[in-house]
Amino acid sequence: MKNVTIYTTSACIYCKMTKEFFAEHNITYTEQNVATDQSSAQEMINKSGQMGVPVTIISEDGKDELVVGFDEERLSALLVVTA
Amino acid sequence: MQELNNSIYDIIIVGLGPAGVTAGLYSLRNNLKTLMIGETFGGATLVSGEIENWPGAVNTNGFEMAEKFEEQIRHYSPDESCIKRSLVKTIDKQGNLFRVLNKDGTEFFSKAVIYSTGSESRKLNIPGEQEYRNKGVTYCATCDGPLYRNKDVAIIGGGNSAMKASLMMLNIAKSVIVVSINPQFSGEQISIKQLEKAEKEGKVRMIVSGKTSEVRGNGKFVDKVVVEHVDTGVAEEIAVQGVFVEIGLIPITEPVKELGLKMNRIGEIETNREMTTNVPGFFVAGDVCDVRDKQIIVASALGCTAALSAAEYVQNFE
Repeated sequence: MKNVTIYTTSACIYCKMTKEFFAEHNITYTEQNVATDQSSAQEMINKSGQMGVPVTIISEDGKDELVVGFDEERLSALLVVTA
Repeated sequence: MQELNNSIYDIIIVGLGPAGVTAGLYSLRNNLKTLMIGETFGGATLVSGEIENWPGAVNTNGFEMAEKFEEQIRHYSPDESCIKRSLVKTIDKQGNLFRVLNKDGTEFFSKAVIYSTGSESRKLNIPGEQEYRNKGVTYCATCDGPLYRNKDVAIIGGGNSAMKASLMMLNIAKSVIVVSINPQFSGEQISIKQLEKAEKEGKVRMIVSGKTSEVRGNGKFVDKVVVEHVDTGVAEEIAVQGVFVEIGLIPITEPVKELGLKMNRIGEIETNREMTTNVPGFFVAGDVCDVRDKQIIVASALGCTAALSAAEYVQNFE
């Protein structure tokens, strides 16, 4: 079972595009809005080592895969979505 | 896999920003066989943040505007048959037709093209900029601004985008410094006045004739920006955790580099009042062309003119 978490800000188009991609492929996810939640922001920076949104973390069997930005190709590959 | 659509479109519109959407509306309402190609509705409008100079809306924003763009196009094409979600790779001529090849491998043919891809952020091209990209250096204040809550930030630029980013960050950051390489700021007066007021209150520092020469960091994130004061020759190291680069735009013309289009010295496609170019049947609109004012409403108006000119061209097409 893959757990998908996306770190977003409210006015970020690439966050919106990533969420639309999840919706299109029926991928359930948890959203952390780093614009309104400072601890989530720090968590995202610690995990990704950078300060750009969106950041998607895909967790499975204790292993995390991290995607910065809306990288459709990589998200497709990681989430085994048939294009 | 390449998918070939044998039907020939009257008009292919490249770009879904205000110029492309307006061109699309006029072409669809003219019953022309129209295809609109782009990644997402809104284009650069999506990262414009708050918009307060669009007639009919005291206050709107890039998201809201993009949604309305899409809604209006869908009104004329409910099945979305006029929309192709992709980025264009190349456009070339095949006989008297244009061939548009997309990055997803699909290709389409048309009698006329309205090219409205817009532009992308100009880079400073200084040491540290690339190294600390997304690690303090950002080109999208509306996207990344909230991550700099209670931090010290520098906004580089003196135009409208820089003014808007500065005003936005005043409400988020601990301190804001605005650095313009020019002797004065050139954004809208209403924004400049707001910033000058904030400066008097000690909330912002405005630097003119300041050349941003280096971004420095601790190996992980930005911790300083170096500004050279042109008048005195003094280089000042300023402690910041964020550097927002808002120094203008570069037109996106890579897909049409083989068409032989005339461009000006900064790479904008040359046009005229009819939005034609030196390539017959190839029209332009929006920030990609050599009009002075890079504004949503101007892009939209140019899209209208381009569509009307293209319709005339298609009517006389042989």
